[in-house]
Amino acid sequence: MKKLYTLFLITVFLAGCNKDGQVEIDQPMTPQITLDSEDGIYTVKVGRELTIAPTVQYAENALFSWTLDGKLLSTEPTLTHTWSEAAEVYVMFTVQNENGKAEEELKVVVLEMAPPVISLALPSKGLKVLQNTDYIFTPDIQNSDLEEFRCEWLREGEVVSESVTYTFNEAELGTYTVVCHASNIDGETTKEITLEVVDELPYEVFFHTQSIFRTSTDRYVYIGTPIFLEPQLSYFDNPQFVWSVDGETVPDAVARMFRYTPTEAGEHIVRVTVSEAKQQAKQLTRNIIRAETAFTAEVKVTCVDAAQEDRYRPATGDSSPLWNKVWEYTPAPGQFVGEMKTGGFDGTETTQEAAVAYAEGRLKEKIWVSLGAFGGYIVVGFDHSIPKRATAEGEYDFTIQGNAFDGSSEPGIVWVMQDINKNGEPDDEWYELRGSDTDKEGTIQNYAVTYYRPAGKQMDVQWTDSEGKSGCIDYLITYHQQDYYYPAWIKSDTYTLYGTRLAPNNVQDPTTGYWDNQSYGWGYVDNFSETDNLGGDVVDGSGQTNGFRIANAMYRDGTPVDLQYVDFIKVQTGVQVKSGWLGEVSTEVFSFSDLSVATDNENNK
Amino acid sequence: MGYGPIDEETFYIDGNFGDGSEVTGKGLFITNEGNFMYGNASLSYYDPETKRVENEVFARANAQKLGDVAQSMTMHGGLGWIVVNNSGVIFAIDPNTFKEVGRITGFTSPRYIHFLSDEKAYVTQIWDPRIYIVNPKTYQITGYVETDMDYESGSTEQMVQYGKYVFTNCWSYQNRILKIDTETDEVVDELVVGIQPTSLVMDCNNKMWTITDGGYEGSPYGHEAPSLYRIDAETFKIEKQFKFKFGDWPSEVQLNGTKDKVYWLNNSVWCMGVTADRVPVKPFLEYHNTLYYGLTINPVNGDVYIADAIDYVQNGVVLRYSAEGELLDTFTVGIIPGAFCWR
Repeated sequence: MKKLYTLFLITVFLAGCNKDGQVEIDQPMTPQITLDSEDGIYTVKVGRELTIAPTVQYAENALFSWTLDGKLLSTEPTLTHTWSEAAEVYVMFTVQNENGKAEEELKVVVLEMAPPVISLALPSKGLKVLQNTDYIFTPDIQNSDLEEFRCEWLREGEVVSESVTYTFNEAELGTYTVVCHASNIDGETTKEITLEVVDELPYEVFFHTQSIFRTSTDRYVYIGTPIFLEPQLSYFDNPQFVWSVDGETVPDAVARMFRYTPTEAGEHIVRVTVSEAKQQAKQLTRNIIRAETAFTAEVKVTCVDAAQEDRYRPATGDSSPLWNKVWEYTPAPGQFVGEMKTGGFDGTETTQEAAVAYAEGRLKEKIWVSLGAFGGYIVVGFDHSIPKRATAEGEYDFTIQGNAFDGSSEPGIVWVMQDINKNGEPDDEWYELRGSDTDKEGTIQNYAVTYYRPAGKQMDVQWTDSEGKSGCIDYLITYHQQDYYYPAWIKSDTYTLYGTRLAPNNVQDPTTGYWDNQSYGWGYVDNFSETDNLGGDVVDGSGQTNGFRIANAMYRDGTPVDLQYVDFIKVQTGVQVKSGWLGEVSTEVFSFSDLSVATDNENNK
Repeated sequence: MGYGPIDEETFYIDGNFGDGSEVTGKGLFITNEGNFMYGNASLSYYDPETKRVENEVFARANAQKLGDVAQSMTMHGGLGWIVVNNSGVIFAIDPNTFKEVGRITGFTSPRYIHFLSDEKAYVTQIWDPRIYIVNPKTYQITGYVETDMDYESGSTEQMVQYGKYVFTNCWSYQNRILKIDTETDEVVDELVVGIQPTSLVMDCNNKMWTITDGGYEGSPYGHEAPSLYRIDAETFKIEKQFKFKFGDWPSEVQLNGTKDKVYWLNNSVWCMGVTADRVPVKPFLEYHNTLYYGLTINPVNGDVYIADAIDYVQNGVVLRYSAEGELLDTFTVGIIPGAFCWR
């Protein structure tokens, strides 16, 4: 035995850096601890018992202690303990005999129980399904990788599926409830889904608001100026349109988009009636006529008895070239939304006001604000109107700073607005600025994406679009670990963003695996354009800017609109695509600047 | 920095730095990478005694910008040698005036310089299979150490020396440590470690330490759990491998002045003795939504300096802690502070 002691002591001394000192061969031994965890880290769930059983040499007559933050947990050679809250705690294990003491610090990770979380995106107005038609349900279930995971579907108490997927088909009209039941070692979860079986789908016609935080669909227009109206439709296969103004049907107005030019000041009610061609009026019997399926929606258009010149707010000597107010910050879900590591969020952004304050704080420092995936937007205003002056090639009226570089363009589409109703708020008419891809195949105007709040933390965000497609914003646990990529200040469980979508332009290098988010021609924010990228030579590291011309403003039908100035600017992510492990493509903005006021000195501020 | 010409300023750092052959811990250079392709790299200087920091000292002393991506800085022969990666240049500066006294050009993508003598040094490269041999006296490239890598994925990084051998870690799309005979300037051996070893230091027991980042998700070269390695320089064999969790992204292995404690970044700042059998369960400094990017230890008093790149856009911040973990100072430097150099 003594030989072994000697060998051990020599080893201890050789292993250290201090080579001084004498080896006392007969020195009594202090305890030696070997933990039963290779890395000293133990994991246990809340409410479950954890036993830590180290091996201790030279433990005869030794005293044991287990302490946590200085408090004694146990004096036994092994520790058995149950924690009631999720936490990461450090426990010190000390063994002392008459020759000395040994200590080992170990870590206990106490995890919440992780029963399954079922996420099934449902229409916000309830799920209606056609009779005699298959509907396949495949929910996203978190924690399905834990032991003893099971999933089954029940209908009226009967198990109808023993897998995650379930196909519903019902001939009888009525309301039904199906139940998805999932369980794993940590618990079980049930989600009830109510379906209404109908013989006709729930057609819907409505006008969307100019912003998700506004409730009014009212529109404003100068007298003698056209406005374009286009309803949103649900479920129609072959819609037929009839438009009326103030109760008078407009002859030949049979398209989804209606160009209306009011000639009288005041409020006008524009109504659209949409009928489904398959469901035209039909004589069912000699005595019964089934009317056509038709739905209406209306919008109030206020015709302002003024010209745009009347509303112009010229710059003064005190005017700033920079934006002076963020009116709204509504990103689509994204990896930088709510991000506290590099995104600058602090977790308190749970109201629209707080989100706006976040964006204003960042933009004041010329730090990026991410707009998330498709449709995410920011609206800013100025202390004066930005005049239209750019006429020649290479001239611009205002600039927007992004962070594009060669291989990383994330195009944002620019919209501009005049304060037509003179209330100082951006509740008037948005005009899109034409860009290089406006008329290209693959560009979709009036595109809409609905995002669904995930049922649990650290889950992908599901979306569906107006093209009938669906997908998700990937949760990238390696890079951004905030609980949700869905904005915390959006109170509803779904929200829909409308805008113009460009075709994607990203490729992956097969050799390096790097993604190349290629540039677009011109007319977009955060775009390494060969034409309007005005940065590149700047040396402050964040000066990539694109230039924009008010003359590119257009009506919804693509014809130019003659705006002499603008009061508000909106930038909106213009693509719905992801670049593999880089995640979704999202526009970033840093600053907005009116070139008519900007000078070199101002630029250097 | 604004636009336009830069005014030249006169500096003179007066201090007891000896003859320059030994590190005093009385002056700290910080190389700020800046944004790739923006040409906004910069050099900062910090006096630990007065806690005074001067930023943009290279530009201000020389009336010219430092260049694109300042990668590293090394003291030798009483001069500071700054490797500016994407500008393909190494500047030699007077550490008291920050004025350029010479430059070596002709590199493709230099990363680090290691001095073998006053007349010979190695310069590692990324995306170039060769290690350049330079003569610091004449500021000339004199030859190359050839490797078996190619221009697409060739990568040599930090260097340590044991006797006549220099070792270097091959990081980008690589998984090796190379052993170079400095008499023949040839690679004589290699050691395979995990995917992408990021740094290399030598402790008091002649054990080398490297840490792999494990690659990244979607990388065609693979993605694995990273590890910290202790490698015996004499036998050139792995002695101990400390495995991290898959998805961790450790970096920046550093040593204290007596080279018996190893530090590294893995979200938090970690520290352990060089003879430890396992990684401690508690970090030296906890992670708090920070983006730690650079790390150094004052070789004389053990103070720990951590560079926080914040979001890679704003000017970064350096946090200075005592060896016991007490915050002593915080100061702002340039964009993406990545490396330190003691004098």
